[in-house]
Amino acid sequence: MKKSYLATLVSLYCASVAAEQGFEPSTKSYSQMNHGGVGLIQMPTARHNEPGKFSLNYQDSQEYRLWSASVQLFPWMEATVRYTDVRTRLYSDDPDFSGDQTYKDKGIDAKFRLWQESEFLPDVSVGFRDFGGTGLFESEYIAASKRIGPFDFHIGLGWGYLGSKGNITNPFCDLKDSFCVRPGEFSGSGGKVDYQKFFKGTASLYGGIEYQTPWDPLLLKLEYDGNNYVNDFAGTLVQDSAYNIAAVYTYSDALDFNLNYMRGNTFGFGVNYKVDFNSVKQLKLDPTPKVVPAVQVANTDNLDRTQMNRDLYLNAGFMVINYALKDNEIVVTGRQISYRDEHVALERIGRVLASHLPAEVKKYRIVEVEAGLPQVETVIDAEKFVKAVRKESLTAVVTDSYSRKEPEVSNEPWAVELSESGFGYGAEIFWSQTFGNPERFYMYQGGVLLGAGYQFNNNFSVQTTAKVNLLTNYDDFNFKVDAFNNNVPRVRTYIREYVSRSDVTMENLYGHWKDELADNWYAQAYGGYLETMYAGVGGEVLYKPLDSSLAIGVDLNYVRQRDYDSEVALFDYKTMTGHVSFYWEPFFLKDTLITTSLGQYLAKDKGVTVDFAKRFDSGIVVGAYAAITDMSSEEYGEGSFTKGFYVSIPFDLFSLKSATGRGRIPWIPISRDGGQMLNRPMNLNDLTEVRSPFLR
Amino acid sequence: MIYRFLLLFIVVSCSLTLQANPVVRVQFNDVFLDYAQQPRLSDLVAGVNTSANLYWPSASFYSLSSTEIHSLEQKKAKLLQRLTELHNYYAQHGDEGLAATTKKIVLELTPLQLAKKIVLPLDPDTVRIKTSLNPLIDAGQYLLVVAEKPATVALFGAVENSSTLLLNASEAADYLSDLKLLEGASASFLYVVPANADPFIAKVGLWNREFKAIPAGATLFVPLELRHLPSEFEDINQQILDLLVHKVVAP
Repeated sequence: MKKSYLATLVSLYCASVAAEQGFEPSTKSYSQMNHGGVGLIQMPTARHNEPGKFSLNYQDSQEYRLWSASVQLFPWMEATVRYTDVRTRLYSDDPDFSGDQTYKDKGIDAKFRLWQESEFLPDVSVGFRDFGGTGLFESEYIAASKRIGPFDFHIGLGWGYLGSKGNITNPFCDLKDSFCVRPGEFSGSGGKVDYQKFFKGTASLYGGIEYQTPWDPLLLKLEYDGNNYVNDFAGTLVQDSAYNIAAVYTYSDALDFNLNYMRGNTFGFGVNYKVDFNSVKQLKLDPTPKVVPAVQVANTDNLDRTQMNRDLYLNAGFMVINYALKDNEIVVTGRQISYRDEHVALERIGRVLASHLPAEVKKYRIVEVEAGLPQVETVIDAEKFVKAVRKESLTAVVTDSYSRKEPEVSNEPWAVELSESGFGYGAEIFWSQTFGNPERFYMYQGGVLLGAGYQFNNNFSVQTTAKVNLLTNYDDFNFKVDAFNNNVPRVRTYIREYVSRSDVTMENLYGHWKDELADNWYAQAYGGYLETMYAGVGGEVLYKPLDSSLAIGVDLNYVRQRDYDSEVALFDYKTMTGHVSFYWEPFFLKDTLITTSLGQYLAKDKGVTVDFAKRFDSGIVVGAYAAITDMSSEEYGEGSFTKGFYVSIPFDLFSLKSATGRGRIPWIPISRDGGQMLNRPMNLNDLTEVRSPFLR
Repeated sequence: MIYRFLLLFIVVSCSLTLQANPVVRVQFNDVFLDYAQQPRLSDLVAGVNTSANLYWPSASFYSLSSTEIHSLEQKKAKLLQRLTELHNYYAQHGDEGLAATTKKIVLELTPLQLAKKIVLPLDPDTVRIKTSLNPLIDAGQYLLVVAEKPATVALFGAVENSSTLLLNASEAADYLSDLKLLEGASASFLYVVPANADPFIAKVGLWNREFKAIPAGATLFVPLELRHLPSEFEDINQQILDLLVHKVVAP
């Protein structure tokens, strides 16, 4: 008995071994340099990781502590953002202002591939480090990389910080005299791309070798530095040797540790946390999809409507609003709240319906409704669907059994008479944070937004939201309004007053009307306290065809600034603001949404905001935006113009149950009064998201 | 043993009684398995899984539909035509070595037996436990190839030998030392056509080497180096690969 038990165990073990055919070790990604981004130690290389690779880095090297995040957005583009802590300098000379906090600096880098490596030719890239104007490490480089077996050889030409040694003549200087000297000062009020400085001044050749040791986790690096560190921000750094060395230990797919020895006198160490934005996923404990019974029910006489709705909710994540059964078809209206992937969602919905309905119901019409407006109808051919889920053919595919179309739900024999009016309420949590403040490096505020509303009919409602702070260190602010005074209206820079006045504030209170005017045309109008800082009236019209790569919206608002010392009072400042917006998913950039808005901003400046968002396979979206207006950089102040970055992460990636929600982590280097839009209480393009899903 | 005998008896008796008009007929090791009704895939694979030595990871399943075979044969004829043109191009330009390599591929491709390969899990233990992996087999004629674990790897393309030993605990690049590459062969890439999975590219050059295991029963296709190909023939490797996927592997 014992023996046979053992034999079973052995055979089970063997079976699992046999099933594990085609073993593939994970391919190593290129390692990060000290400043973040693929490279050697101080010097960048031409290498790019696979698209979607993300790395969060911490590097410590005596004078500098570097925090950076780097992402490969496209096969040909890498972007890096960085905070630098200069340990030899204070944030400011005034201890009342910033205590003993050390100097902090922000930086942005980008690298573009010009040529991809082949048998005889190298990878070639051009890159820009700290190109945001006041950067401590501002430089440009062109680099080439060629691998031969376990060795990866790199050579580069650096300008600016990377080329400060000046070991060769700037080749552009031979072509044009203006390239011989690098302009010293930055343009505007910092924060601008100083392209007039690019590739100017002293230049250095640099190079290096990476050696992949036979022991897979260990990589060794040797580089020849193009920098002489004489004019370093941290003070002149003594360079005993032009060579730097490092060892990178890959602990796992997620973690790298590195140790380096620089300038012949300084040790440094770092850690890199790596995630692949394309493949990252979370184990799920979702209910098993319903099995379509071998014999479907005979008719609808004994249809358990309550159970069907419950199954749609619990098994398919579809919150049913209403449904209608008629001539061999069923129409179900509702909202998807669990499954982000529309194919997973539809298969689950189809399975629930097929397990409750007889075969004579030939068509399942699933209508997604958002805020009372039907958005899209998916028609499932029930017969085809059932055949596909039962695998009644070698080639049947579930996705072939349904298609999307404009919703047509005017006169259906609805099962339930729904009242269009009534009260509603809800709550959501919020978390806002800011880095690099003089008081503390990290400042935060978190709490709940309590919402309530009354709907008069499908189109009209009154809504309000109260903001309750639960956790905050914003009371550490040592100033409320910055000292920078010019003639620009303070449309956003009173922010500290608004967020720190009281722990309970009225965020908004407004009347709202919305409707679908005609096919593809949506409209809304609103009036009241619209957002934290503004009250007024406004409206929006959006043209958005189903599954189109382009949508166009127009909004116009007349607003007056709210008094930060009162819940209801208003300041005198008033303005018209509004934009024409184009939401475009270009065919030549995979999973990318470009939003361009032209119009007048809150400070009456006119211009354009461009928002660029890239979605990875996991659903994570990385975005950047900039507002260029007719306000001069002198008027705008530090940063020169409004710009920001964000990462939007599906909650689903952290939870064991599927969910459709998202969290957005913004990173706004400096935000001032130019290029500021009104935060409308509702955005029609977001409302109609399912008509052409980008945030899936 | 008795069971196995009984099973054989049932199968044989089925094929005897239903030979007249079977819905599904599957050829397996010179035996025809006939089914009066569409069988599930598990019925088929469990029925033939009589020996522990059968190596299912390198099993293949083909449709013998005459329209599919006809279309594959047409593709082959077109490809042979193009390869002959390529051969003539090299010959005219005095590239004797490249011409010889192309000629070799033409000679190798001409007798190739083709049938529409259906890539899907076949291992009886995988198939029987998951409905989604256990489809009904559509009416028609099929070929199932499964045997003991192959000890060799088939070779095709710009390489002299026609097969080489399957190496244990090794990667694609390890095979290069055993291959006698012909002139014009790519030194950087190999196409790998597994018996029952989609084809993939293995990077094997000094500059791009990457670990890729070669599954037993796979065919390695050594492509022509891109820089030797005239621009109008740049897609020739892909076209060869598209046909090679449907190569009938001898049981």
